[in-house]
Amino acid sequence: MLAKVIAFTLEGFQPRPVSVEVDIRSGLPGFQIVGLGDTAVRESRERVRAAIQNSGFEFPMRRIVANLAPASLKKTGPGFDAALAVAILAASEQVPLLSLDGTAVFGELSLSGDLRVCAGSLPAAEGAKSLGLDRLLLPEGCATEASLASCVQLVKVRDLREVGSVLHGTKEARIAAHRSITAARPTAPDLSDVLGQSTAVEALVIAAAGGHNLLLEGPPGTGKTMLARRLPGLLPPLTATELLEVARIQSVTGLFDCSAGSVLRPFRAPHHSVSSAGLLGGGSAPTPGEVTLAHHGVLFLDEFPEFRRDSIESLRQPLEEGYVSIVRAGGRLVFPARFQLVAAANPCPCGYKAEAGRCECSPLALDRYRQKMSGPILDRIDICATVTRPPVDEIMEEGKRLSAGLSTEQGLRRVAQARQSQLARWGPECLNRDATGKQLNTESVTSPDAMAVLGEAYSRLKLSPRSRLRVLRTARTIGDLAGEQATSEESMLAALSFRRRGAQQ
Amino acid sequence: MTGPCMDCARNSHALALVGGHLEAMKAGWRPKSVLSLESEALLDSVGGAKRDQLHERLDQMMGSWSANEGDGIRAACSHQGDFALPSVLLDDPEAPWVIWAQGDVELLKVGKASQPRLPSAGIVGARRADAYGVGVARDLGRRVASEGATVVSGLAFGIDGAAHRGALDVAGGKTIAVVGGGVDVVYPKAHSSLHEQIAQRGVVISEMPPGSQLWKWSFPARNRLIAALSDIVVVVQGARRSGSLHTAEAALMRGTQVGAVPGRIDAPISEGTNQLLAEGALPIVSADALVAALGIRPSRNSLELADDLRAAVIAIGERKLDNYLAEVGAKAGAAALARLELMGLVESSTDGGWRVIG
Repeated sequence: MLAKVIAFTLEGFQPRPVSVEVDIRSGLPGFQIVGLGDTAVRESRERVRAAIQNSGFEFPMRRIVANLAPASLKKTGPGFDAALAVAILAASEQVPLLSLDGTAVFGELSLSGDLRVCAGSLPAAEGAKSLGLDRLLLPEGCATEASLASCVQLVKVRDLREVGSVLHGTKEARIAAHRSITAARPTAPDLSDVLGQSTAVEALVIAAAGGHNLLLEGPPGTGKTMLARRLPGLLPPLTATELLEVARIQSVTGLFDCSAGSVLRPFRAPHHSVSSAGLLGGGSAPTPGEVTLAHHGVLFLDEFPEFRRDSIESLRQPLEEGYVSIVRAGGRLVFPARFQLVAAANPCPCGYKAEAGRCECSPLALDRYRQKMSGPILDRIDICATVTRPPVDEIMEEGKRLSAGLSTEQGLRRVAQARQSQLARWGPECLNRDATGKQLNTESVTSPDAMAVLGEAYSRLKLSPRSRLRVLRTARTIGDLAGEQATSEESMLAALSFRRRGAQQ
Repeated sequence: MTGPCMDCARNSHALALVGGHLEAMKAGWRPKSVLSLESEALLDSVGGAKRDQLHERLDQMMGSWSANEGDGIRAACSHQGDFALPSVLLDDPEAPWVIWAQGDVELLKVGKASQPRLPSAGIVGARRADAYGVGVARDLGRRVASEGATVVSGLAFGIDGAAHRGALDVAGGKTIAVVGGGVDVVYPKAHSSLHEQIAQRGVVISEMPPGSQLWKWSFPARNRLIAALSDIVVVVQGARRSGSLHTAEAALMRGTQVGAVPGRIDAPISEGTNQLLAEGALPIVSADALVAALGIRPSRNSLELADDLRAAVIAIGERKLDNYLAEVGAKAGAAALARLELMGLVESSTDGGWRVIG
């Protein structure tokens, strides 16, 4: 007897249909799975056998061959368990064969026969929809995220027993209602907690408004991390398309928060020991890395110079293109990775260079540190802000006065207004960070006064053409925050003071 | 408001009336021959077929004319007025009929015969100047103003604007903008804020009545007034056969010294200035050279900064930058620091600290 069930595997974030075929014939009892599965797939033999037996069905004591087609496609993960079990049940006539028409099955099995949640249900639901299937059977816990996608019928099942009764039609199927996706209210701490640091706070607002990458420099403990964590709160809510992209990534990587049922703008802060594969994604069957997890969100690299050189260099492509392409012998995968980079760094290895007499770094160590702080990645950071250590008496006595007084809500309002004028100028989904020199060099965008100052700075401060472009972009955002039609001289000057200083300007 | 006398006002308005016709005559006329024609002669000579019509229009205009032609605009001719015309303009071979002014008319007391002596430098040059030219012009303007002398220029893009701005960087910096149209006509439009600043802290003047538009001939006409008002005319950048050289020519005609800033010999924008140098113009190799040419003994540290910039310098010195930034706002503060950095007065280190130089 032959039975066929549709399941899905993932290639990056793309669902690929896999037809799970089971053939049962007389011969020596045995169970074999062919079709380029990984270890998890091979091990599913034992899970399927136990689950079938423990659910009150009979595991056929004959020769069973399961094939996962197409055979050339690598299949990963435990998501085929349920499909295999259902195919065996159908091939042994324990569930009606006809009931499998237009049905896809997704989920991992436990030995007891329960269906367990596994990653990637949202893409699976999208795949079922694009194949034109009628329904998708999936574990209860996956229903929330899968329901974001599709109009295919989602049948929630608890265990293999329930699968059986649903296929027999003896029990009414529990259908998960389609839900529209919502953005979670950011839980980022409020900006008004920051004392003083008006320059750094302004830089944060500018970065949020124009989507610029940001470098925060300052001694340890002055609030660089504190500031960075407040950036997601300043960013406007994700749009519907962005939400779905983020939800898909979270679904595939198992980060989706099912209890909330909504999606938070990502904030990723990998430790500086991360490998380049960890940042970019990789593995023989490539899995997404931190840059992809930060898609449409913030990637925060604390202690930036401590990161491994090759890890930092690998950020080039995602910063430039907004995606990572991972090429392996097995093929090429593209992961989305459009994130905003926030890097934080101490001014020197010990961190106290700004404070006279406290720094103990040797000139050689300083040199090496500075070398790490240059290079092509910093070339892609538009804004650099210095976080300083306010004198202690000012924190104690003038704490109230020093507070920049800007709350996240006020900041968000400024950002939203600035983004609106950018969208009006550049068109949809284009922020100042993406503007080209040609676009910015026109009189209606940048006033001649501002251009004159920039020209002066270019020769006087020895800017490079690239950093000139960065200043132009930043200035445009500062102008947008101030509601200027064309960037004013003052905005250009302010942008100049937010540029990165040092050898590689 | 007394304003100019009726006759002079009439002559000047006649110029504005026939502006377009002068344009048609183009080649071969000199300001001397046309700008100093009295109104009737002017209309007769250029009016052609429309002569009678023009006479009628002028009569109409002058019938309802009053000395008060606009808010805050003052005017004077050689006979009478709201202020006294400086001798350099009265004695000029191509003297204007009337000068309209917006701003501090005291600043017009410049020139060789002024008492006490108030030196002035005309800083002019190409509109399409490059960063080098703009930077030098701003420096020269700043330096001249900080030594108490007056910066005279034409409010155009490029060098002119930078020279004015340099003067305005200094507290009490004096600058005269000579414009080709009416003093209330902003040209180029993008310089409206600069125009306004000069009207408040310096003076904007014109020989054309308020509201007059600009013609091609307005620029050489204006250039002669810049030359007349300056003790030395410095051309910062200018291509061969450019308008900037016209100012130099006008200066030579008046026996006024001409200086030029050396430029690259392979840059077309410096061809004119380098040619001037080859012909014997004073090489302006530094701001000091210009100051010396004005007959001022250069004083060290005489630079008096405008208020907002000074506050920033003090804050850096006292290590209270945070307080300063909280007071003026992050954006204005950042702008002031960058401006000081461009002026070479403060320095920022890679760790974000600021230091006052010298």
